[in-house]
Amino acid sequence: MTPFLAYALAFLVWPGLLVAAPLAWFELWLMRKALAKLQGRRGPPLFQPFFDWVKLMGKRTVIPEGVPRAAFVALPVIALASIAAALVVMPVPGNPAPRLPGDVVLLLYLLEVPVLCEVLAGYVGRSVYGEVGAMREALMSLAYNLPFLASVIAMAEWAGSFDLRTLAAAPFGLVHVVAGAAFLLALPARLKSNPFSIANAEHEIVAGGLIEYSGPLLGLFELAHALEIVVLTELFVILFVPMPAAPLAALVVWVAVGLALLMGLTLLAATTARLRLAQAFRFYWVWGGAMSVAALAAGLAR
Amino acid sequence: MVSPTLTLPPFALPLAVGLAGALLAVALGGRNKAWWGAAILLVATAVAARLVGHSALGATLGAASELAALALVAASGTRDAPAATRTFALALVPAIVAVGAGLTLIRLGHLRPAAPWDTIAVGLLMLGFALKLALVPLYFWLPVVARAVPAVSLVLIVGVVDTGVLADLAELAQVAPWILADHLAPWTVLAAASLLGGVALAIAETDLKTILVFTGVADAGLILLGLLTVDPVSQTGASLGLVGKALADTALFGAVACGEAALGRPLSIATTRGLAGRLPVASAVFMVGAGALVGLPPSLGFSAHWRLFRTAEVVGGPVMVTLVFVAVAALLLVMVRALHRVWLGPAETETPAPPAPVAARVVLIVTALAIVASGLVPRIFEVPTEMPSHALALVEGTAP
Amino acid sequence: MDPVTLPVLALLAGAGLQLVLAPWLSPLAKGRLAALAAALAFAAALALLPATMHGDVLTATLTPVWDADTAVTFRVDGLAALFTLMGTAAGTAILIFSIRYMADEPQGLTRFYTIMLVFVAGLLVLGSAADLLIAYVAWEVIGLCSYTLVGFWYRQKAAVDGARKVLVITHLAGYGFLVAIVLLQLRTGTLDWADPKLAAGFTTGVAALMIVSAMAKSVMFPLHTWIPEAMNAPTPVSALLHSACYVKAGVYLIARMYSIGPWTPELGGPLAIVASVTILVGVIFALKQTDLKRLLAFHTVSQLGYIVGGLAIGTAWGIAAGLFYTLSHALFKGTLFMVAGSVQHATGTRDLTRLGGLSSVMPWTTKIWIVAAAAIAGVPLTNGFVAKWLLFGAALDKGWLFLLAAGWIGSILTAFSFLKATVNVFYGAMPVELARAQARHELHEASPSMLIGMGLMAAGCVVFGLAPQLMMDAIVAPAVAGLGFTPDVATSWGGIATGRGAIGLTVGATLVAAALAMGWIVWRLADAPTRATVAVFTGGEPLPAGDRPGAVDFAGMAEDAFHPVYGVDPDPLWLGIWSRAGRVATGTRNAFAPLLERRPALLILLATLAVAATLALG
Repeated sequence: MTPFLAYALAFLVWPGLLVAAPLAWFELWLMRKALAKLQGRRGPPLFQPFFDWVKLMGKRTVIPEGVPRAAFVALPVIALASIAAALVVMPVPGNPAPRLPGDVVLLLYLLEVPVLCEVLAGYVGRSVYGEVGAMREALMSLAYNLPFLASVIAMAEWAGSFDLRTLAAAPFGLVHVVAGAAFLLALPARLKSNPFSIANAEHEIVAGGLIEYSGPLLGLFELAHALEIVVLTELFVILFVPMPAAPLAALVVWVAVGLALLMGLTLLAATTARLRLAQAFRFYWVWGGAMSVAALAAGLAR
Repeated sequence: MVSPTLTLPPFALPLAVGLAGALLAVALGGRNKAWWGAAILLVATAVAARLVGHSALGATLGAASELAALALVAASGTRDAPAATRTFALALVPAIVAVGAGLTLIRLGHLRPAAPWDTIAVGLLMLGFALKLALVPLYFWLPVVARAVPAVSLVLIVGVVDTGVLADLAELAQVAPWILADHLAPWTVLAAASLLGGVALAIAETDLKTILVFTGVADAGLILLGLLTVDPVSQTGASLGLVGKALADTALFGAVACGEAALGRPLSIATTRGLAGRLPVASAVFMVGAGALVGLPPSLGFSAHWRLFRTAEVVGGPVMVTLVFVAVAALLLVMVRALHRVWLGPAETETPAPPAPVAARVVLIVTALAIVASGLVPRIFEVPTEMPSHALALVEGTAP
Repeated sequence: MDPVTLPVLALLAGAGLQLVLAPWLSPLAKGRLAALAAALAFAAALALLPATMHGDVLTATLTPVWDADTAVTFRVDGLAALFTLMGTAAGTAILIFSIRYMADEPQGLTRFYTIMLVFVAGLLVLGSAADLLIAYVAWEVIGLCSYTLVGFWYRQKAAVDGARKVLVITHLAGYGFLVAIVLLQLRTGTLDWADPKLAAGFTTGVAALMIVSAMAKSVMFPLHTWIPEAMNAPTPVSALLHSACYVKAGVYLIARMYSIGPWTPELGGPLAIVASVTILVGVIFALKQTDLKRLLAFHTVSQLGYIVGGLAIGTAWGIAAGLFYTLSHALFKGTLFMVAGSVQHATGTRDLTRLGGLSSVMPWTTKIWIVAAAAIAGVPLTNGFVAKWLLFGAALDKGWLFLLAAGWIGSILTAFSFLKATVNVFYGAMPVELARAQARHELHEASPSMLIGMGLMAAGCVVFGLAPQLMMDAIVAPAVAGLGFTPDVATSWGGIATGRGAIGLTVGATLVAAALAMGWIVWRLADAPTRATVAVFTGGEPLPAGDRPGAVDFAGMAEDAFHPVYGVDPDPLWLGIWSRAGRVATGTRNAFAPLLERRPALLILLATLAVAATLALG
């Protein structure tokens, strides 16, 4: 199999779009169902996220006047493409892509691109709500990236490599716990869920950065956002959870941890109220900073 | 040391500088007959002194040149001229006497008399040269004279006479190196004091001509440093520095002369602003001259400065190097301050004014080109530094 | 005519022709002549590549003897070829940009183009000089070029103040280089950097002196404060000198130090710490800026921290990372400055609070900016990403966590800062004055020659991001080898492989491009979007006229968070030293004046006695 075909397969099928999209919708459904149960509702049926997406893709796109068309259309496509490329990089079993050796650096930069796209989208749309949402998104990224990066750097230092496979196989140590905690600290903000749902705060700025997006373009952004959940949960499991050797046991651990993560996020979202931007920013630089230092120290300690 | 195939004759420098000064005086006007007489006498005797070479006649001609400078100050026609002349005379006459006596004692460097006469000779020479060059602490006459005379006079006084005195000292150091080598400590102190003191005095000044003459004192101190060792590299550094200083001073004082003529009053860093708008050529030439003084390439000043840094390390190690660095750094800051207040930046008023006369601009441009060109081919100015055999014999202790 | 000296001679000939033909050339013609000279030099530099790629070292002598028996000899190894190419490539693109950009200047164009050409020639001489004294002369000459170019508008106070600061900081620190050379010459008798004798005199002290010099030229903290003031220069000057070339002179010196002798064991760590601090200080100060060029200037500070950090690592990987970053930075930073210049040219301002919505007026400029901004932020598929990837790998390999952390956090802050700049200049709503100017048809896209200049460099960002092996194999690896290291960064069309990890970039990039193309096809086949006839959504409220989040708001929270860092400004320290020196000088003079100046006769008497006493005792 030529490298090109291998990459294409990885990008489009597994662990890329064709399999990851339903997985993402499933994870979204899990979270929405759990949230509903916590709030005493029935919750949506299993295929609801898929139906929502299909509905969006079928609608007509409206581009407001004065908005540059090329940028407006390109941004969601680029966001989705980079998240799909991030999926290609993940060292999940059965990934046909040649050993890139999973560069963590590439992965993290690919994960940044959707954020950049969403911020630009807010300003490209020329709505004042979009601009405020985009600004908030940018500031939040400054905040949560500190513990997020620190956790990954600490693991890389511990394992002595930027290779995801090497990181996954690194012997268990204190760093796994501390860095994992730092990663978890950053996770709700990355996923824009309570109490860090600041950039897309419906009650404050209507829809945040994506306010002028509708139809298929919004569908692409939503899909990118859903795939982000998949990538981040996969990343957490790969980096911080030691896998048993037997494949079946590994699968069980994977599913269990993933489930726990999603449920934890949902519980947090259901039980907290949204913070103000200043509070969230300070929280991440103070507590996130402390966690980062702890994680880096743990990474150095041998 | 390889002899260069082409060297400039030593009289060329005072001739060129003298010519530049004279042309500037003609172009800018305002000088009386007495001034012209003194100026012509000054340049003629200086050129003749270099033509004649190191001899009693040469020394006498040199002294005549210095006295002509005194006459030049007297003929300035400014209000402060008489007092400045008196002060200058108070320094110059004892200096000429001291140097003359010293040179007589040592037969122009060809004889080393028995102790204590050799030490007395060195003392006389030290005092005399320090007074003539306004080295620190014997600089009292310099600011008085600088304020009293027009800048074009300073082209001649500093560019021709001062350079001649330095050249005399350099020649003496070659012919009779024991004068410096056997009394390193006081000469080093004198050099270091002039280097740092000259710069400090320049920092404390606001009149531009006075600032420039004090930086010249610092430069003289640096050149003196190069004469302290018999090392050929240091000697070359001193001789290149000498030529570079003369060219730089011509450029600097020439530019100031144009500025004075345009404004009708002396330039001061406290009050004068933005002359570059009216006098772009003078401003550019001032910049070139300042760069040469500070030792920026391409200029002879640079060729001198790197050698003199080397000398500093040889003579006094890291301490001396640091000292020289501090002085040169302060020199840069002083010149940059002067450049940026008086010349560059917005002008005081935007009234249009006639530019400098064409002849003056031509002289300045030629001087600037000479600075850059000489920096590109410093080989031409590297005089052979093999010691004359009788001096060598003296140093090695064999008899004449 | 020797091919090795041809680039320099072409540039100097161009400069000479500028001076000679000045009265007969129109402003556009002067620009074209300068660009032509630079292009010829670039072609000549490219011609040297085949030889240097194979590891050959080419030598040629320009003049047999210049000063103190040193000849002006060129020795072009991989590193020299790198700098020659960088200088001529950036010079050509930026001079093409200048043709139209500077055409409206009322006076001084001859001076401008002549000095620009002399500057590039000086940089080439610095890179190729075999003798360190010649290298120092070139170092100072390019400093003087920078001084005269920053002070181009010599009647404006801001410009000449900026020029003064450039000269003072870089020249005074440059004495470190001079003293180092003097010491080397005294101890070893040679100044040829290929001479093995030189290593004997290359002590830590000498190396430290050279590093201090390099720090000032390459804007390391705390000698970086001159670069924001230097932004008062015309934009081509900022693009060529203060982003692409002049600031790389220090990088050259640090790299060349590897030819002389090993210095990293003692100094590599401290230098990497300085570099890490520089990365963060630069970008944090950049967050605060609302002047577009000052923002870019502080980013130059930060990016040079990355470059110097890579060189300080001291392994083949680190040096490769540093040199690759050098070239990449020249490409994207030069582009960014040229775009800033175009914006200023079109709108008359570079203040972020007064700009906005320019993407509709300047679509091509916007695209070029996006590419360059993506490069500096490290978006994959750009050369900036490859450079960062190399650097982070090298830092991890060396075990320097602090450099890695500083680099990555700096990267996030850089991305944020460029978001701020991008959205406030090109997107969002156009401010009232600009909208009025647009209505009067006063706003315009950059002219074609300006677009070509910018576009060429931006294209380089993408080309070398998709196919970094082109740059690695041809330029960077020979440079690393020339410094005496065995390159362990192998490249091919399949990607870059290092000892630790690999990146299948070109193949991956081709794949992503194919995916995007498919997406576009699907899009075209689906329903075409409708143009709305109403304005943006406002929730039923009328949009407040001027009340939008601006540039200051964007980073406001970040500025508050980083408040203590903004107090870390070394300028007051330097200025304090100077003013104290002034006071000491004046005070001393006043103290001694009564004796030294007002009683000359007494002074002469005392001096005579002192001399007599000293000589009698000595």
